[in-house]
Amino acid sequence: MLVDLSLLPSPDWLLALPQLVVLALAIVLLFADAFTPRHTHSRVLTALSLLGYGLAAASLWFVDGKNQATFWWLFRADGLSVFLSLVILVAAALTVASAASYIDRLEGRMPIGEFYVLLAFSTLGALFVASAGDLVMIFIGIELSSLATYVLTAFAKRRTSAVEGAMKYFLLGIFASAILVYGMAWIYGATGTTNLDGIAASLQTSVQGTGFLEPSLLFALLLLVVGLGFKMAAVPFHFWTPDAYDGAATPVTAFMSVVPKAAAFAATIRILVQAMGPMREEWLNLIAALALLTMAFGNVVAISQRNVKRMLAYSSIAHTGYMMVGLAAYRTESGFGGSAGAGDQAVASLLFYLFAYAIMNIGAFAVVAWLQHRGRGLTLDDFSGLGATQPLAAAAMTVFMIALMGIPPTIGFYAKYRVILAAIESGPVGLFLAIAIVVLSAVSAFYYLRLVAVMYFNEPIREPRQTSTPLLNAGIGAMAVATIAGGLVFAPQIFDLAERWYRALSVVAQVGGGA
Amino acid sequence: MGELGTNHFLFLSAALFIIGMMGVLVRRNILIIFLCVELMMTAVNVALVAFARETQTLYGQVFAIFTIGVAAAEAAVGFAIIMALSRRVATVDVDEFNTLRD
Amino acid sequence: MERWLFLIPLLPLLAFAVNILLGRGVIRANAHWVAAPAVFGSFLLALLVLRQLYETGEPISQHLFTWIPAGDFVVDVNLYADQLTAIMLVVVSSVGFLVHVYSVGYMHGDGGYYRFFSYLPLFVFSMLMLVLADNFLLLFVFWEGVGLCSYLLIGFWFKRRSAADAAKKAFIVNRVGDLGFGLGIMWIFAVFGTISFQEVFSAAPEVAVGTLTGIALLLFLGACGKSAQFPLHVWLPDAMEGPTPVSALIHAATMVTAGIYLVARAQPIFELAPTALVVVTIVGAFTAFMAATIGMVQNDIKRVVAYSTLSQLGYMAFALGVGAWVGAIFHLLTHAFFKALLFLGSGSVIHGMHEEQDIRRMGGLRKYMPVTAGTFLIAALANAGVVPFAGFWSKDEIILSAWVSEHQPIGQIASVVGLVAAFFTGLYMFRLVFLVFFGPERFDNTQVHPHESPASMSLPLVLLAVPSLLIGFVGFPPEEGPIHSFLEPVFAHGEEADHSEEAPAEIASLVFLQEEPAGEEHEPTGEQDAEAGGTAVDEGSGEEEHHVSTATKLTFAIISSVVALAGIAVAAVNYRNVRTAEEVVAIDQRLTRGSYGLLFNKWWWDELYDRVFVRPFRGLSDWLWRVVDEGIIDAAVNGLAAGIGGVSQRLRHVQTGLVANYALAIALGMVVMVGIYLGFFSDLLR
Repeated sequence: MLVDLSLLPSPDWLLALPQLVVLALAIVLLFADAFTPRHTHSRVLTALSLLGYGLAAASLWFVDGKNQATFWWLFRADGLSVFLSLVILVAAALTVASAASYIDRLEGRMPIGEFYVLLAFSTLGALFVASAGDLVMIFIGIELSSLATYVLTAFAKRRTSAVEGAMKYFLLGIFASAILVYGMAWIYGATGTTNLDGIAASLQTSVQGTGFLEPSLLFALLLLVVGLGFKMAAVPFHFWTPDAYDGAATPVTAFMSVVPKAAAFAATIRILVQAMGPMREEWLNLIAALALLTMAFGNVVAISQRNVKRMLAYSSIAHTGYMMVGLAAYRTESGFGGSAGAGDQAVASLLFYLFAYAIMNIGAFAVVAWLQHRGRGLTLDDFSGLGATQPLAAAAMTVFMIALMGIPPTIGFYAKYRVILAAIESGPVGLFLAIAIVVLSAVSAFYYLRLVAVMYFNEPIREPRQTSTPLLNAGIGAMAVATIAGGLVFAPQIFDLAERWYRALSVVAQVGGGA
Repeated sequence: MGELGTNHFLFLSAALFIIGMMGVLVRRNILIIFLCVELMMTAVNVALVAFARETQTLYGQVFAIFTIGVAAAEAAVGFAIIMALSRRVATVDVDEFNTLRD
Repeated sequence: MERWLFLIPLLPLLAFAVNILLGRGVIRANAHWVAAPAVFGSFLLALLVLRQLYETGEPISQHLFTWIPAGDFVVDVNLYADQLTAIMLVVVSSVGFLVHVYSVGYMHGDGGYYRFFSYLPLFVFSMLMLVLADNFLLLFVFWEGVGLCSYLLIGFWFKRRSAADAAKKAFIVNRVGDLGFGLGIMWIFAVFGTISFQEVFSAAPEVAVGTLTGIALLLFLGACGKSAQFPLHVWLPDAMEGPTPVSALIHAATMVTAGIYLVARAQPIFELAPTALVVVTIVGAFTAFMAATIGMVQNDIKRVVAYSTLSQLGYMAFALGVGAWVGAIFHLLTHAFFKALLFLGSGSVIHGMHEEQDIRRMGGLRKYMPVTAGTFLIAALANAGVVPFAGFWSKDEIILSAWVSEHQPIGQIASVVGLVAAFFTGLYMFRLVFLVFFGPERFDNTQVHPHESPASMSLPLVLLAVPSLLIGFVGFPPEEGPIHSFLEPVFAHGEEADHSEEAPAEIASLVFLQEEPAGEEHEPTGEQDAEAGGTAVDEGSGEEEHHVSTATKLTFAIISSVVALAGIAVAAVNYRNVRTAEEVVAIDQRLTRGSYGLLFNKWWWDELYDRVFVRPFRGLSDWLWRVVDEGIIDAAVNGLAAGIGGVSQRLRHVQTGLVANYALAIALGMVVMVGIYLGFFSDLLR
């Protein structure tokens, strides 16, 4: 197995351009943090961050449509990685927009340079997962993303609840990571490779050969599902979510409700669909059961929350459940390495949902942060009468709420519609899940609309503090517009982009059998 | 049973993993919980290296090196968080931290 | 224009967005500075569209985006402007703009000023999109959009009970029509597999006549609702509760003509369904007659004009029914201007009389408000159909077309009914003019000080008076005017399809296609032109059969003028010099003899509907509410909600806050999964 390294082809660095840009951004931020004069410090770093994520998103254009693997199949640039990178970068940029003034002013002026650096590293980790072609890459990426997020959670360190949330998140996170990597080890043991395509090829032969799967593979699968389920916050591995979300500073909550989740789904698609696609019969029902449990639990418990951040935390658990339905609806006829078939709608719907979720969820948290700027707290009562005193903020929040609820004409509706469509087409289990989504959406209307009702029908409790947050305002406005425009106009185009994920499975056919 | 086979390593790995897991579940001291997770990571490394020997590939050994690196990074971040926490509340008992609940 | 077509509706939409979002806080009394220029911009662009269509004759279309791509059911949002659309665009945007200007004065100081100037551009946007739509569904969406705006604007002063009721009435009556329209669209999709205008119309000849008749009748039901045709006419007079500019724009010039537009747009379908056309004719003629009679005895200035609107819409409808497609659109065009002028004039009178609407307490106002009086007189002459005012040309053409159309005897009956209604039109129009502007003052001029309206109100009156006077000449000479040649391509479509269907072989249609251009080239004489024009009007009739001679045209022109003038004369004799309010009623009763009660109560339609529909329905609703809803459904839903809430309250305590418990949950979850999988699903233990 020893290889003469000089015979290996040199890597194609251009394919990793988005990741390199974000890496460069992190390093530049480190230096800029040290050398920028005090009075322009915050503005320069914010501009640099936005510029960096913008450039990285723009560089996706070079990668789009390439569908190649490089770095000896550790790194892949395919439709899946492009779409996921787009979601992650958009989420990162939106987080910067909602965080700039918050970090700089609230909770006792946190060091904004460090915040942006950690944000960049977390984003970088997620981007690595999105482009991973190997279990090692997935593990490194998830850990890079998670470690940075643990610190971000504890970032408001003057508040005990922030550090407490971070501690819980951290302890459970590394616990889950250990389980995850143990599962990876067992996969490696059963297939003899850590390369995703190699695993798929090996599983394909064993599935076709005997129809008998080694129990070690099943064991590995379950360990992986536990580890990934933790990262994406699926019930019963979700317990860290409400506490960490509640404890963290609001923009951090916005970030960690999207980017680590996107990374977790990226890893899940890479591992379950791409590598373990041949044994999907084993995991589809498991994912379906977890999806049902997750959305039911998230929606039901969200009802009894009076703290808006905790309510949104449970709502994000419910949304994880909806997205898992997209995964559970994966039914492809042609197996791995084939051309686009019937199953690709399901994962595409998941990806689209992730995109929609990123915008509307960060939007909702951004409005919460906006209110915190104006001296209000986090409970439902703090939203009283917002419709009368701050009509634009209330309107934006209403848009995000109805989008999260999944009501037309917002992007949330289209996303849910796509997931339901994919689920119905996938068979009886999918039909049941689709019905569950509809019923539970009705349940979710209760707590989303309660917030809207509080904003418009209750009397305002006190005068808001006057303050100016131009970047946050612009960000909220952009997200509100995107939430509506995405549903009205751009949904089909974005969905087309998401559908290209399927080419990821054909990369292996081009390079000829993986490792 | 004479020679040392892959199964022996795997049983060792499983034992370590379960001991670590039990430790996480049972112990109350944050540092001990943390060390138990490290034990689980060690179990993973044992398994990886054992599989590398079994399958005659290098992936497992490379993976193990990365896992050790990640564990070190986790330690750094973890101790930082524990430090920050103990500055606010002078205890290392996880059960003391339950202000975030319901 | 292909690339900029979307700007026409976009400008008012932007104005709406700006005003509704920032109106209350920032813009306030400057809201008109946002709305009016936007609509004016649309007007200029509409003129460009008109010019381009006039020059090239090629329809303009623009693909915006695909709205619903659901399998076979694809809805594209396309804008499509042909000659018919161009005329509608100009009407909507020009009258819309003038109404905006007028409203600056009329709504001055109103508490909901910004709200008014948000709804108004929203309406203009919806109406423009309605006429620009290139498929039935998009049209339907904005059909509902204008309905919504109408609802919002009728109930603009929602604190007034009668306004809120009128808004509801308009909305509900329109639902009946919209139900038909919606069913019609579904049927169209079921039959044709598409809802795009072009595709449906080109496929129409291959569909059975019975099916087409059904579709056409359903579409016409929708048109009846929106254009207030009998039996769904009852909402329009009540809609006068809205601010007067709204009545002018929505309930006279534009929205109510949407029904006419729909039928004209669906001409290829109607053309193939003769039975449906007969229904359209009967309904239109009856509405024209009924509304004209009711208009004779009403005392509210706006209601008189409203009934006149109903009556004129009836004219348009029966013009459509007898195949006078161009005539109907021509009348739509002229009517839009003079009726908007009548409404705005009424508004000016009401404004000047301090919110007095009862014409029995007016009189002699012409010396107080000369501009209003002069322009109102022009509009009244146009409405009554006196040479050479705008209404004469279009109305005369409709009556003539009905008489010579191939749908006999119904056409000639309609023609006669139209003439009778024209007599009443002259009568009620000039009853209004004489009672309001002439004769002695019947109000207490120590209390009321009539005055002319401000410039922002009188200027639109003058600007509208110009087209009311002159726009008729686009239809001159009759049946050969510019408007006829302009609109010919739109309505020729169905004719060709008609012919190719009737002819047994394709050769026939080829011959037909070659004949016409050849004839025009060689003999560009008046005769030949008349024939070409005649065919454009008398759709589908054999060209030789109904050759309309100049003599016939002249005869009808004279007859309708005489009839209208007779009506005016009767009005002049009776109402020129009325001293008291009681005397007005006495004269009304004398003129109408025994039918006064019937007419004054609007033929009792409201009461009839109340007995037959409203009350039984309310009884049913009551029962459903108390027994089914509260007793069964509410109990079940509330119980379920309480149950979920209780479960939620319990489940939240699962989140204990303790890391150990969380880790245990993860481990247990894993163990349970491993247990289930290895125990039941795998082959390990078997």
